[in-house]
Amino acid sequence: MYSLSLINYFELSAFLLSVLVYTNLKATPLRPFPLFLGFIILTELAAKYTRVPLSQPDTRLNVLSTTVGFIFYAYIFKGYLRHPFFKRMVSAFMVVYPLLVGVDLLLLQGFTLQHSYTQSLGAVCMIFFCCCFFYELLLNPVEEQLRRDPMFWISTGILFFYLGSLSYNLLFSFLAKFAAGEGGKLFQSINNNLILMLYSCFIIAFLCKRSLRKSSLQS
Amino acid sequence: MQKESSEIVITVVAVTITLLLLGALMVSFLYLYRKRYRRHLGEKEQLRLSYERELLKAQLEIQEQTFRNISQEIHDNIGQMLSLAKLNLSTMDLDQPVLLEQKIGDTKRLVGQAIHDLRSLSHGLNTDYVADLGLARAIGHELETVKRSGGYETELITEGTIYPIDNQSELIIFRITQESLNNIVKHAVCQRIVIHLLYQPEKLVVSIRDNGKGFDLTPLSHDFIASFGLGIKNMHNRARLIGAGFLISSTINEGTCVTITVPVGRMPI
Repeated sequence: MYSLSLINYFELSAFLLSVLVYTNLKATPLRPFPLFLGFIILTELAAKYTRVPLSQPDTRLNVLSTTVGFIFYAYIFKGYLRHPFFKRMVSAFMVVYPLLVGVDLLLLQGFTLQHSYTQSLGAVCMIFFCCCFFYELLLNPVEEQLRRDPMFWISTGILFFYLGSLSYNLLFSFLAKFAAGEGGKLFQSINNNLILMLYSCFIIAFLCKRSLRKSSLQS
Repeated sequence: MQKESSEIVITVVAVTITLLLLGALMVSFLYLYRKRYRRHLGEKEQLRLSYERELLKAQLEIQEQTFRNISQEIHDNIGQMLSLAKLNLSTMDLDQPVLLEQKIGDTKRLVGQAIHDLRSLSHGLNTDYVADLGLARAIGHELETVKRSGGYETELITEGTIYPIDNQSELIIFRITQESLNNIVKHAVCQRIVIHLLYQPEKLVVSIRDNGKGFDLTPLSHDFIASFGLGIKNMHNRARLIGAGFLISSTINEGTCVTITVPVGRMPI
C-alpha cells in the first residue's frame, strides 16, 4: 500500500547523489539542489500518503511542488545564463510567476483543480530558458566537453520534461472532460516516463560533478 | 464521442512526440556542433604547437650554425692572424731596427684586423643588431664585410620605399642571407655578388645572386643525399616559418640565385 514507485527511487537516487557531490556543488548555482530534491521527495511522499485516506490526489501539494520547481529551475538558469537580458527575464519570471499562480488559484482554476494555465505558462518559460542556455552554449568559446557539463544535462532533462508535458498541460481542462479514461492513463504514463528522464538527467549531471572531482585530483 | 476522444488523444500524443523529437534534434545539433568546435580547437592547438616546435627547431639550427661559424671564424681567421702576430713578436730582433719596425707595423696591422674581424663577428651574431639597424642596412654591412675579405665585387640594390617588418621575420631573412653569403664564399668561386631588395606594397623580395660556378640542383630533390642539401633545406624551412617563399635557381658556370619572397602584413599560421 505504501510501497515506493520507480519514480520515487529515481528521485531518491538523485537526492542522495546530490548530497554526495555537495562539496562540488557548493561553489556553483546548483548549490540548493539537494534541498530542492529533498523538498520534492517530501511532497511526493506526503501526496502519496494523503492520497490513500482521501482517495484523491492533493492538488495543493501539486501546486506547491510545481511552483517551487519552476522558481528553482529559474534560479538555476539565472545563475548560468550570461546575457544580462536573459538574466533580467528570468528574474522577472521569478517575481511574476508566483503572483500569477496566486491569481490562477484565487480567480480562475481554484484550489481543487490542477493549475494547468500557469503550469503551461511555466513550461513555455522553462523551454525558452533552456533555449537561451543552449544558445549561449553554442556561442560559448570555452573548450570543454559538453557531456561533462552538468548544466547541459539538467537543461536537457528540463527541456524534454516540459516539451513532453506542454501539449497535455495546455489542453488539460479539455482532456479532463473528454478523454479522461484511457487517454488519462496514457498521459499519466507519458508523464511518468518524462519524470524518469528528468531525474536520469539530474543523476548524470551529478555524476559529471563527481567525475570532475576525480579528474582534478588526478591532475 | 468515443471516436472523437480517441482522435484527440492521438493528436495530443502526436504533438507531444513531435515536440520531443524537436527537442532531441536541438540537443543533438548543439552536441554535434560543440564536438566539431572542440575538434577544430584541438586541430588549431596542434598547428600552433607544431609551429612552435618548428620555430624552436629552426632557432636551435640557427644557434648550431652560429656556433659553427664562430668556431670556424676564430680558427681560420682571427686565430691565424693572432698566431702570426705572436710569431712576429717572438721573432723580433732589437738589433735590426728596420726589420723590427716592419714587424711592429705588421703586428699592429694583424691585431687591428683581428679586432675588426671580431667586431664584425660580434655584430653579425647579435640579434638586436638587425632590429636596431634595419634589414637593408644589416645586409649592406654583411656585403661590406664580404667585400673587405677580398676578391669580391658586391652590390646592394634597394627598390621601393623601405618599410619595417616584424623583428622575427627580419632576423630570419637576415640569417638566410648570411647563410647564402657563406655558401657563396665557400663554394661559388665567383667575382660578383648582388643582393636585390625589392620592397613592394604586398611583399618583400630578397634575391642573392652570384656569378660563380653554379651547381646541379637535381640531387636536392632526392632525399638519399641528405647532407648535400641540408643547408638549403634549412634555409627553406626557415623561410616557411615566416610564411615566405624560398626559391633557388642555379646554372652551371653562370651562377646561383636565391630568392626569398615575404608576404607583408600576413603572419604565418
